[in-house]
Amino acid sequence: MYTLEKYADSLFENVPDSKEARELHDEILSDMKSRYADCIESGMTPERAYAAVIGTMGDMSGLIGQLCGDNYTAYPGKADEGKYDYLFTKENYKTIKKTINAVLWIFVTIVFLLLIGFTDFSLPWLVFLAGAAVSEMINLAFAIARNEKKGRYSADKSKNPEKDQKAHFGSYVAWDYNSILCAY
Amino acid sequence: MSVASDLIRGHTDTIILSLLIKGDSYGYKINKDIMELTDNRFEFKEATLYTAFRRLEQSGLIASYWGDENTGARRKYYVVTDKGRQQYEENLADWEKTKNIVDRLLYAAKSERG
Repeated sequence: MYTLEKYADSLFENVPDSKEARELHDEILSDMKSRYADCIESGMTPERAYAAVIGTMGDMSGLIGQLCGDNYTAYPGKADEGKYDYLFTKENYKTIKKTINAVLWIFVTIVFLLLIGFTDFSLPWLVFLAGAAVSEMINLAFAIARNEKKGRYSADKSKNPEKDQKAHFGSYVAWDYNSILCAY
Repeated sequence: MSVASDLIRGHTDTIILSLLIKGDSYGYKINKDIMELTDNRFEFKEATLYTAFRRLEQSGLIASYWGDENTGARRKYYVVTDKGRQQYEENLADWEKTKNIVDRLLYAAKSERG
């Protein structure tokens, strides 16, 4: 059963205790009670009266926020941290990484083709080694960013990414080696 | 009939001062008075009222005290200060001038002058 007391308490749930906060709480509650009593007197059921009282409250977050000092946001959670989290889902990470790597390899291939156009076959294959190195750096950067993000929310998952990273490195070396061989 | 609440909200402080000049009052009572004066066409959200009380009290235009209610519930009363009365008169004079200008501009289409 909802009560006006509970509603008033819930408004001040995250507010640091102060004389000012307690006074505003009491003021709001006594006004709510008066309105509730009037609603009941006018023939409303308790449920309708409760709804009517809550309906006239409006958005209290700004007012309550003033009691919490400058660091308060109306909703739990910090203001800026995690602002762009929706961009950095696991899927997006993978997609962004894949795209950057794809662009990298297209670029490497173009450079390679240009180089064999101008010179002979003895040196241009080195661009694939350079490409592999850059690709690994990109993967590493993503892994670090990802770990940092994970670490911020759950510290206990720190083992897996490392393992992933090693396996990843192996597969890339194998793949790069193949690509070099193919190029020849 | 719809009421342009945002046009009224611009005058929240003056409205509260006006009602407090008629007598000390508390949040719900002020809203009840507003309902009565407007034939139930308008009332403030409580959040708007309390925010305004806070602002007015911080600027020294109103003061507050806790009344002793025989029902047991503590009730916070607001009282207008001299500074508040002065501010009210200023706001009223501003409104008179502004009202005149807005009227002229809004009714320009229907006016034969100009």
